[in-house]
Amino acid sequence: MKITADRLNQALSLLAERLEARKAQPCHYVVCGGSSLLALGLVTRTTTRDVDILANFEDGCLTRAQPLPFWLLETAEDVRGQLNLPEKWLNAGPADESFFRLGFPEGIAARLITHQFGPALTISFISRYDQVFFKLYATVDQGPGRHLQDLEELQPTADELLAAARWCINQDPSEGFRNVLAHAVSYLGHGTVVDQL
Amino acid sequence: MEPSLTSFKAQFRHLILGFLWRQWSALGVSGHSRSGDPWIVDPEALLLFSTVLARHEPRLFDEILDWLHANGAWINLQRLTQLQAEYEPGDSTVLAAVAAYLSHDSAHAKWAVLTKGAVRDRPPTPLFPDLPFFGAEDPDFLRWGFQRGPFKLRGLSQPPRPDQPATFLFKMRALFGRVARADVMTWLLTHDSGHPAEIARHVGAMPRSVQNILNDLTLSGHVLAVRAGREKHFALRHDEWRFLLSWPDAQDFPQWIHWASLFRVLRRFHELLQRPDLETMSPYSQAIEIKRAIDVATLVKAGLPSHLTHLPGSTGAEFLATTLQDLETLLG
Repeated sequence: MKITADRLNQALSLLAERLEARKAQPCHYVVCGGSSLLALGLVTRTTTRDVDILANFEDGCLTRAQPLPFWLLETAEDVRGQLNLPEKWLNAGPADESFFRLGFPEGIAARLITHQFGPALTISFISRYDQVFFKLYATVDQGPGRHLQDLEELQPTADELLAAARWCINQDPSEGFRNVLAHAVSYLGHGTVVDQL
Repeated sequence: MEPSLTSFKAQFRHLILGFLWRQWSALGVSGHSRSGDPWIVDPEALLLFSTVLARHEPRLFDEILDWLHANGAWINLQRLTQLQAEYEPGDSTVLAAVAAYLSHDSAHAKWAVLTKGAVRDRPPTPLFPDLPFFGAEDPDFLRWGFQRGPFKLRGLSQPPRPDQPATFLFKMRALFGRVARADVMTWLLTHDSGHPAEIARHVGAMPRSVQNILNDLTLSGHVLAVRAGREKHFALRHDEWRFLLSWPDAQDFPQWIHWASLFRVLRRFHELLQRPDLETMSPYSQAIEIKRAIDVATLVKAGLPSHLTHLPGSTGAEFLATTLQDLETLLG
């Protein structure tokens, strides 16, 4: 079963309720990917497969979220059982170590859109601007498909794509990656950006 | 219609109390309940569990005291202690109060052992929480922190009748003595085979003692020992013992259920239902709590019918309804 926007809200609310019931320490996660797009209504697609945790948010900074604590995964499993969610619906798949080593898009923390689901759970969704960065990176890294579709719907401007492309090159400076990136940027109608990289 | 938590609690209590009445009536407690259950009643586990749940049914609680007064010698106190230590299906302080009362009678002086180590210095609370308390207090119970009126022995309890599956363990204790040997024989008659540690866990005895009992029993020629890999399994030929099936239309030996582990689950479940925060939770959250308390793996391991494993199939408010159905299948 895929997750709709309503289901997402229900799942995170129940997760928050359960964390509170088990007296878990308050936690604050930064979420990217399809669930973030869905929560903020940035795209026309209506479902996602999972909730991608990008990082913890502590003292105004993004910090490593991998591995997710056992009590969170156990609670998420309880929620899955009740709401018939996909396996591993809550995961830290995108919380790649390289982002922490090479850096997130500059100013990402200030642009987060925060939803409080209860005293025990706060979720900050990355902004549309930062989605452009991650979606461009994912399109080049994993190939066209869902990510490219999302990127098209986000309708990035040339300036946004230039900033995103420069960040992507910083993540992967290989020649092959740069070539595919140039193709992707051109495909999105901003071929002039390629010359500025 | 899906039950609310309030009606769920009421129905659960109704089910449990009906079940307890039936089990105790089968043992000889004066009461009205029918008894036709296919399983063996475990008197020690039942008594322990009753120290928690029978407090919600004062009449049953007093009939149990009455029964113990007449038949308490059939309770294996060592096993009672062992089961409580391992599974905690009962309330040790209530048990100590019951034991203190019984030990006034010289026939039950041994029960005094159960009063050692139990917590007693707590402010008095009503023994029967659903019943307003007034008037004179029973000194035995008050000493253990429980307020109740003076207990009056009615003397209506009967000894367990041997012609029914429920009292099979009593029949065996009457034949083999009020010791672990009778319980081990009962276990062997109700299972194909088993190794000493497994049997010890089920009968609530020390593994070493069970090992010794089994070794002795093999010398009779009626209990067989078979090597299964590194383990030694014990079994007997059930057909040789069919004369023990002395009730009408008896087809097979009655069902052995590991009541101590089942009662532990039901006690936890009962305690969960008393928690005030459960009321304020969403139906999904309530279902998660209930699912955690009703540990299906333990129920199945206890020897319950496998259809109870359907418990996790439903969610939210619907889960409460299916849980009730399953508990009714089990206890109803």
